[in-house]
Formats: sequence, C-alpha cells, structure tokens
Amino acid sequence: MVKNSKFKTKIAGVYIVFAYLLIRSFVYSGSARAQEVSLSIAPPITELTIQPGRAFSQTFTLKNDGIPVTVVAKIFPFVPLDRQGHAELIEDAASVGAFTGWFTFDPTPVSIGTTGSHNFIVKITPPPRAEEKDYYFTFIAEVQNDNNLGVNNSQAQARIGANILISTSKDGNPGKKASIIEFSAAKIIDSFSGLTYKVLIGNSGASFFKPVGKITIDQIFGSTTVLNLTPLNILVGGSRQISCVQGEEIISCKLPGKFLIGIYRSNLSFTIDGSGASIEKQIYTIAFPFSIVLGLITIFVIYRMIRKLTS
Amino acid sequence: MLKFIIGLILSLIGTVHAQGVIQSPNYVIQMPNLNSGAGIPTSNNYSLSSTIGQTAAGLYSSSGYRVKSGFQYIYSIIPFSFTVSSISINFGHLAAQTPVTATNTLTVASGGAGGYQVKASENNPLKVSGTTKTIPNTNCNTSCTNTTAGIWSLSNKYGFGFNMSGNDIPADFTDTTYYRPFADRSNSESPQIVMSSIYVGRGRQSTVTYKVNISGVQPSGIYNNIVMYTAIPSY
Repeated sequence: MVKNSKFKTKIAGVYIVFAYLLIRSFVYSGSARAQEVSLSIAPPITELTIQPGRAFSQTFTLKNDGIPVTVVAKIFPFVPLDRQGHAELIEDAASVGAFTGWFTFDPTPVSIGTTGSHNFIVKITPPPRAEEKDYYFTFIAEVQNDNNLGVNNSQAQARIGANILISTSKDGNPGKKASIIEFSAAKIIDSFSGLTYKVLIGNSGASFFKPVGKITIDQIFGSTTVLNLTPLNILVGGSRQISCVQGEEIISCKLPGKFLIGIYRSNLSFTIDGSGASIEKQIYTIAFPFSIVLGLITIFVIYRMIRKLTS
Repeated sequence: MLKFIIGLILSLIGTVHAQGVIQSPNYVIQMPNLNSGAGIPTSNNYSLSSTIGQTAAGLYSSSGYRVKSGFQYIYSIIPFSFTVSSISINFGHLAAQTPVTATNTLTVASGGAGGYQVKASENNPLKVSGTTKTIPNTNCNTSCTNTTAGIWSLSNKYGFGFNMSGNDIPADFTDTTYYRPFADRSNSESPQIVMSSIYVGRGRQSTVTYKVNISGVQPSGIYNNIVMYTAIPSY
C-alpha cells in the first residue's frame, strides 16, 4: 500500500515536471525572435571636461536581447545636424584618422549571445597639445553581417551609438556664453487655442552647456504658471530648440489651461549650467475669446434672419 | 511534494537575473556600468547623471577631468535600445513587372536619452556579387530621391526602394504608395533619417517596406545588398 502510494507520488512528480517544462517553454520561449537584432547601450551620453594630456576611461555596456551577434566598436566624430539635438556622423577615413590617438579601445569583433552583454572600455586621452575647445564623438557598436544566402535579399545591419562630448580645458572652466536667439509666442490668441512658446538658445562660447531655467507666465489677474526648460546640451557655434520638461517627460512649452483670457506676461530666464548670471527675455500675449464672440455674432445674425423671414 | 510544487510555481513566476535590475511602475532601470570613482549611485533617488571628478578648481587640476554620464532631466538610468526585427529580407524569385515587397520593423526606446534618430543607407544597389549587374535604385513613377519620397505604383517603373510607416517617420512618406531609394554609400551619398524624435520615447516603432520591381531585360542572377540602420540618441 505504501509502495503504491510512493509510486503514484513519483508518477505525479514526473507529470508535474513535464507540465512545468511544457509551460516554461511557452512562457519563456525567448524574447529574441528568429531573426531579431536587439541591442541596448548605456550610458547614452558622456560629457567630459578634461585637461589635454590627461586620461579618462569610460565603460559602455552593450546588452543583446536578440539573436547572437558579432559586434565591432567604432568611434566617429560628429557635427550637429539640426537644432534638435541630432548628430551627423563624419565617417570618412581622414576625419576618423585625425583622432586615432585620442581613443584606446579593443577594435576586435566581439561575439555576444542572446541576453548577453559586453563592456567596451574606451580610454579617452586628448593629446597634450590638443587645442582647448570642444570635440564631439559617437561611440558606435556595429553588428557584423555576412550576405551570402544565395537568394535575392537585402541584409539589415544594425548599429547603435552613444554620444561623447569632450571639452578640453587646462583650468576646467572653459568660457561659456549663451544668447536667446528666439523666444516667441503668438501676440494675440483665441482663449481656447493655448499658448505655445518657441525657445531657441545659441552657444557663442567655447564649450557646450545646458540652459537651466524656466518660463514664468504671469496672468494680469494674478495667476502664475511655471514651465521648466529641459536642460539640453547646446553645442559650440550652434543653437538648439529647447523644449520643456514635466517629470521625466519632454513636452512642448505650452501654457496649460482650457480658457485663457487677458494679458499674459511670459518671462524666459535661465543660467548656464545652473550657475552665473541669469539671462532673460519677456514677451506679452493677449488672449481673447474670439471664437465665442464669433459664435454669438453668428447666432445673432441667424436669429435676425429667422425673425425677418417669419415676420 | 508540496514544497516542490510551490518551488516550481515560484520559478515560473520569476527568474533571478544576474544583472542589477530595478523595477518601478514606470521604469525598468538597468544599471549602467559607469566608470565612476564614486561607484554606481545607490540612493533611492537614482540620480540622473553620475558626476565624476570634482568641480572645485584644485580637485579638477589633480584629477584632470570632470565627467557626467546620462541626462540630467531623466532621473532613471535607462539604456538606449534599438531593435531590427529581421536581419535578412528575402525577396524570393523576382519576375519581370511583378513588384515584390517585404517588411522590416524598427523599434527604438530612448527613455533614458530623450530624443533619437535612426539613419539608413545601403552599401550599394541590389547587385550580383562580383559583377556589375545591378537593380537600380528607384526613381518612383516620376521622381523621388533619398531625401524626398514619391509615388511608386506603376508596374513599368523599375528599381529598388522603400516606404516607411509608423512612429516618428519622415513626413514625405504620405502613405503606402510613397517610396524613396536608400542613400547609396558606394555613390558617396550620406545616410538619411528614417525615424527621429525630440521627445522621450519608449517602444517607438516603424515599418520599413522594401519594394523591388524588375524589367524583362534584367540580367539573371542573385541580387543582394546590405542596408545599414544606425540609431543614435540625441545629445
């Protein structure tokens, strides 16, 4: 009797293990699809102020959540592509070769399995005679492809990057200078249209910086609203359209509220990297319920027409 | 036996990950590997950027550098990630004046980086390896370039091109009939943006639809090329 009970328990155990393996094979069938390349990189940006001739090592962690891949690390200089923080990589051999001595990293291909990761250590050493100014680069992890499948096809090659902003400075205080290129909003708006601001800040200094500040909107009847600027990097010689931030979400700089009326005084104020003198500009906007007035006039005209027709 | 069953159920519910992952209702925080003298931040308020080096002039001169990693307005440290759904887009047998299409999906999560861009380019037009035989890049029905899409619907217009649909795509891809040729690096053309945003994005997804249409005089052969997608976070 006891033996029989033990046998049944064993059988039940085998069934449970089998069921477990079956369920597990469905539950964890693998996030990686058959052909999917999925990479992530951290940190997405490195901002370095460094003395020429000194060294700093940064580690970029590449994680693979797709099929096993072979990856090669590369570093390219970049220039700003637009006013929205996008980069244009400079990939010609001469431009890349000009900075060969700046970076030390392992250029040999690395195999990374599914759910595996790899740390790429990049030693950054601006030469002792490097000019004191800004240099911008992107670290690229490039998946290697082999296109010999014997069918008409197009291979997709994935590359993922992380930006490196370098300011070389002997004293650690490169000259930073900002200007408000544009701070604008509509001068007259309908009460229901909302009030959207355009903020364009320029960098005429010797090093990249972040504007740290806000737009303070005072309504003539007393209410005050504050929109916080997103502290985005503005690179030397360029300008950047600055959005606002709410929590961790980047949003457009827009006055919330469903009904605006009266005169609104909007004051843009920011400092460079959160310190030093505040840079400010004020603009005014009048909000009036034009749509309501237009609606009332339309109703009145229709009413008059109906009255005229019926009389 | 009961303990065994409970153990099995628990193992189904969750697995132990070797890497340090912190989850909150809003974010999964994958700890980055910062080369930080101060180590990885450990407080409950996971700091946006890890600041290494010192701001005081004396300390700067001794360490020789000051560094920040990450974005200062994003308090969670989330890797920038990029997914391409398929590394091989097969067109199968190509027949004259019978367009073939195939799709690929691009997914970007720029939660820790704010905005981003994805650029695309081809190493060369579809080509028979080791020969000069190519399927030329499309000119669409009338015209299109690697920066401006055009309607490509006629079966007697031949070539290779792509359409984009989904999140954060260029505005010139008005609908599924609009195509562009890929920028051709063998012709010194610069890669072009196919996805971009200035906002924090999680799971932004677009579909690339490749299209090939050949004429009756297209030489036979196996045609291949490589389309490179480069995803970079905003600075």
